[in-house]
Amino acid sequence: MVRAAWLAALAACAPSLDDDTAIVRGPRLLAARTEPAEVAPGATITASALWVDPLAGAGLAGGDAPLAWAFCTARKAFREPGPVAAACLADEAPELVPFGTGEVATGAVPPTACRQFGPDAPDPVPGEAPGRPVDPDGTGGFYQPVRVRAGDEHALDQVRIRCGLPGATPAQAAELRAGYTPNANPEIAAMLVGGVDVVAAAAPVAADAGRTVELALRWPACEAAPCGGSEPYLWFDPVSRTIARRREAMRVSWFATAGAFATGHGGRREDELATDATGAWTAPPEPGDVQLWAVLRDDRGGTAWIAFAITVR
Amino acid sequence: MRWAPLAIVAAVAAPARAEVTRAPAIAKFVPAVYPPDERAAGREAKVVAQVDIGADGAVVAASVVESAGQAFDDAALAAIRQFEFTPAEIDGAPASVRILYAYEFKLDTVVEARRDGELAGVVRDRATGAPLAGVTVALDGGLAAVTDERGAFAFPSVPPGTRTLTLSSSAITAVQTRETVEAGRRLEVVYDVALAPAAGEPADADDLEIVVTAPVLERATAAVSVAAGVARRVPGTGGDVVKVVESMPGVARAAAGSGQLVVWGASPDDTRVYVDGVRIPRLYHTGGLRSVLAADLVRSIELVPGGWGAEHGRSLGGLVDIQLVPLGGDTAGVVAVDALDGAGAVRFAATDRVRVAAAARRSHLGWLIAQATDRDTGDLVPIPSYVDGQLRVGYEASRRTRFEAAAIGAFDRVDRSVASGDPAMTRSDRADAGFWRAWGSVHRDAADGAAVDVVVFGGADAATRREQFGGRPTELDVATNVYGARASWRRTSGRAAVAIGLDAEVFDAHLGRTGAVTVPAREGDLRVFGQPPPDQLAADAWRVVGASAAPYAQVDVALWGGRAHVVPGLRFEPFLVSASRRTPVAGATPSVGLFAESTTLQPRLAARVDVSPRVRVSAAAGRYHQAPQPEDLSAVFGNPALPIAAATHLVAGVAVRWSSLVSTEVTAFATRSDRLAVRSPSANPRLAQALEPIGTGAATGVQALVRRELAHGVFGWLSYTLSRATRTDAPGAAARLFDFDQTHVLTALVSWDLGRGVEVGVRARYATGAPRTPVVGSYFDNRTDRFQPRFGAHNSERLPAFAQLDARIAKRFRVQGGDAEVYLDLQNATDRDNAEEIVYSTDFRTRGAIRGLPILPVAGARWSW
Repeated sequence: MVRAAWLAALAACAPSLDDDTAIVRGPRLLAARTEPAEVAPGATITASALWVDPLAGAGLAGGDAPLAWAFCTARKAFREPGPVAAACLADEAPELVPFGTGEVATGAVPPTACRQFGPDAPDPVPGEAPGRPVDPDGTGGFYQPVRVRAGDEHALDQVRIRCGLPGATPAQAAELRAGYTPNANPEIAAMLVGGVDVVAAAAPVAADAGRTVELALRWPACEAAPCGGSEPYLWFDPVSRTIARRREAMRVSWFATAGAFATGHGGRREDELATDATGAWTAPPEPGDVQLWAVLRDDRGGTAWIAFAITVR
Repeated sequence: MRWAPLAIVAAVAAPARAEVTRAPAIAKFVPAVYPPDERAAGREAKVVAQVDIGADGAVVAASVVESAGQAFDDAALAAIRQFEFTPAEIDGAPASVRILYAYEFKLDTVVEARRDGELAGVVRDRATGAPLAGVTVALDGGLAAVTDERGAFAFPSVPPGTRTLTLSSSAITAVQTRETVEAGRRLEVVYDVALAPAAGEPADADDLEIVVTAPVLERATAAVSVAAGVARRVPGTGGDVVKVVESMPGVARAAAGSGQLVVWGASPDDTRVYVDGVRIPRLYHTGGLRSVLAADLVRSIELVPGGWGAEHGRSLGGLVDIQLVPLGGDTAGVVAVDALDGAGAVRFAATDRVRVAAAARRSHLGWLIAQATDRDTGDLVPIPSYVDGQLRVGYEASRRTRFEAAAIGAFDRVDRSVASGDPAMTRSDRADAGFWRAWGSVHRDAADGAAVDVVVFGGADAATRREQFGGRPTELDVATNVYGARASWRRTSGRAAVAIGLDAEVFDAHLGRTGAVTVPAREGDLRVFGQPPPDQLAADAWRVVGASAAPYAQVDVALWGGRAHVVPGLRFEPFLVSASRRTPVAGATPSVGLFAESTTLQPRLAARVDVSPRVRVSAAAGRYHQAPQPEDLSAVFGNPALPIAAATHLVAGVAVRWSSLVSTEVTAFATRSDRLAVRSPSANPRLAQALEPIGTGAATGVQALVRRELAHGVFGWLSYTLSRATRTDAPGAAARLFDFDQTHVLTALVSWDLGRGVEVGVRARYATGAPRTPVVGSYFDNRTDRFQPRFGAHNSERLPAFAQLDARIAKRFRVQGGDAEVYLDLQNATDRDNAEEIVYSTDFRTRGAIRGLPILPVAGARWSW
């Protein structure tokens, strides 16, 4: 009784918001990736997107995706919120370097990426003291922003770039250079719906209307990089200022055109060695085909996805 | 030599049932001649004499009833027979009376100069508030006065120090209390006393109600002071006297659970808190539920939002000055418990010169919730736990000199974790914060009328924060040792009261920080409540040593017979700041430190004029400086070369005493601050310049306080502040609203003693919502699989206005030789939904508001003896 009253009091403090982004109700970019997943400045990448449009019926995704790709060269001030400068989300801006349209595009990462978005000192400004390098992310990585214009919407992708090591001794830099393997995009080893692997199944998997089915996405076990699973990698710990070995965390996002997920995300922390993430999807009450997607991301910017259908009966 | 009336022992030639309606008061005092032989022998003595006073006030006869030897007896009687009194009245008519006098012979009185403290006040009937005439107010040491028909009494010249007062008359139950009189200052008091019970009626548990009112605008133009006895009864504070600060004018309403103190548009870090002259790092425990000081050891709380004198510095915002209760010879204690915590305090006299006070408190809210609910409730909503304690030992070496050693400390912890199957949403948060201070002080009233105060203190502040949000760490460690000393000398000479002193402080801070540069958020940052931190990771460990020693001088010049005062002051303050690292660590390159010296001259000027006995007009202006926060001097996260920030305060006000009970103060203010540290606006920030000293601030407004002192069992006040606070983040940039700006802040409260120990009170608050920056769109960030907000104009909307009604009901009664009180503090009595913060859906397409707590009854009890 007391517990219920206490929880009710707390619940009254937080609003109830429509927070179910796992159900796709209109055209959306669900994911993007580049191949290779990590490159040096100047290297060519192939970017692709998971663009879906449930209103387009059977198409759902495809070559007609209204996507426009551009590298962004604008640095972000500390005062600016978000991961990139506002100019990177503009339709047109001098800092945007277009490199293709459509679901897949190919372009060369700007050669200045490590100065603009990495540990190298930025281009000097006449009369001013040296500029401040960009801080790495929690995995020691740096990223070249990529703007993806999708219709009237904008999305942001970031290409992991291989740069030097800031603030380390030459010996540490050499150790990291020798032992570091650039990130590879993850791979999906199996996608199980109610225990049935949709990759291997010849026909769409069926589910009863209103029933909940278990989902499980698997990736390969990975002992050494490069691989399609949770890769081990070296990084420079800025706190202890030492080179350390760690493993990628993996995250799965679930999407569907109907039904409901228990939770839209799952995954494994870097200290978890399991090679799968599970979820639960409840079929809608109406019969019909439902399109689902699972997007797998490692925490160094690698991405993979799978699309599959479930027939609701 | 001193004399004291002991009692009126008889009305001469008066009817048996007659009442003394006006006691005699001495009109002419004649000092006795100290017997030379006794002086040579170093002997002191007290002679008690019976004195018959005629209806015209003349001494008719005097005889010794307690002898101190022939020489002393003769000298005392010779002096007493020359006394003249104002006539006593019996049943309204002049009459002869017989009284007892004690005449003390003290060796020091021969060289004793007249001193310059002033004590004045009013004695009233506690039940009706009516003035009481004929009450004898006797000070230890012999001074005495009798209240007039307005209940007023005055001691124009009182030796400084802690004095014992005895109030007596045939109409009241005799009571005793203590007051601290300072040289060169006027202390005004109001005593609400209970009339002596008629035969058969039980005595009231509280015979004396004391309201100490600092002189109106005496200390600073905009100071507001509240005595602890009043503050404890303010609804919504849970009996925590220090939380009354939230209800004072000039203070913005803090967001629920923040415990921040925002005064006149200054950042929370810009307001300083002093306890008996020693700075402490914060006023409240984490979450703002409780103050860090035991309520029963607090004597008064004073808020000076701006325009203060030269004796204080190092802050751009306000001052909160908390005075602890004087260590007296009485024995008293209290234990209290409510839903938040349990506390105890005691004070006693270990010997006739050594006094001790101690207090401790420990929270149990988290434990209570854990008993009533599953653990996950506490994990979801952080429940702070805290302890605090104080210990004070006083030694009264002589009437003129007293020493005190004291220590206070507080420690807080918040610990929670939120598990999730999504590795990006797992969350843990642990924050520890603590501080302690120890000090020794000496107060000396010199024979020439000067007062000297010296306090030397040391202590440490520590704060640790460990936060993980989806594997993104945010860590902060701050360990600071602080040392300081304050010394002041004050003396009144002729028309000038001079104060000179030294205010010195040294700190040595060791800091470590890990996480994104933009976390935690600063004032002015664009942010959305509850969002994960950026995933950039930086780290730094640095040390900052700072010192400043500020000699100051201030003169209070009385003009026009004391009706006007001009108070110029000057504070000369060199700041020394040393940072261990000028640039971020680069490989094995040794660190190069940075040392900066900045000397400031801080003029202060205040003036006040008593336009009439009821109206005072005042104004003040000053220049103030503040060293950068050690947390901002990181070569990675901040800027080790940040300069001293500065502010100018302009204050003008008028205070009107409508009656002895009701007063109004209206104060207009304007502050300008510059060289504020803000985030670098450059997309290409220079090395070690993540912060730049290019921010400015401005605040203008007017505040009003209408106050009714305690009488007829009722007290209350209405405070209102109309203000506008802005910031600019770069030279030439447009001004934006300050993050904590609140246009209107209104607090009205009343407490009413219904009699028979029952007391009720209500507090109503209204505050304009704080500014927020709206989210006008969003975009999808593929790498983090998260939507990111697009912001509209900076601080261009506000949270909905806040309004809340709190109520309190208490019942006092006698239990086992002590006084017990049970109370119910009903917060948000109308169960109003107040928006505390705006939150957005994952894709920022919909939004809602986090609401404050619903109606929240907090019951408690206390027992004091």
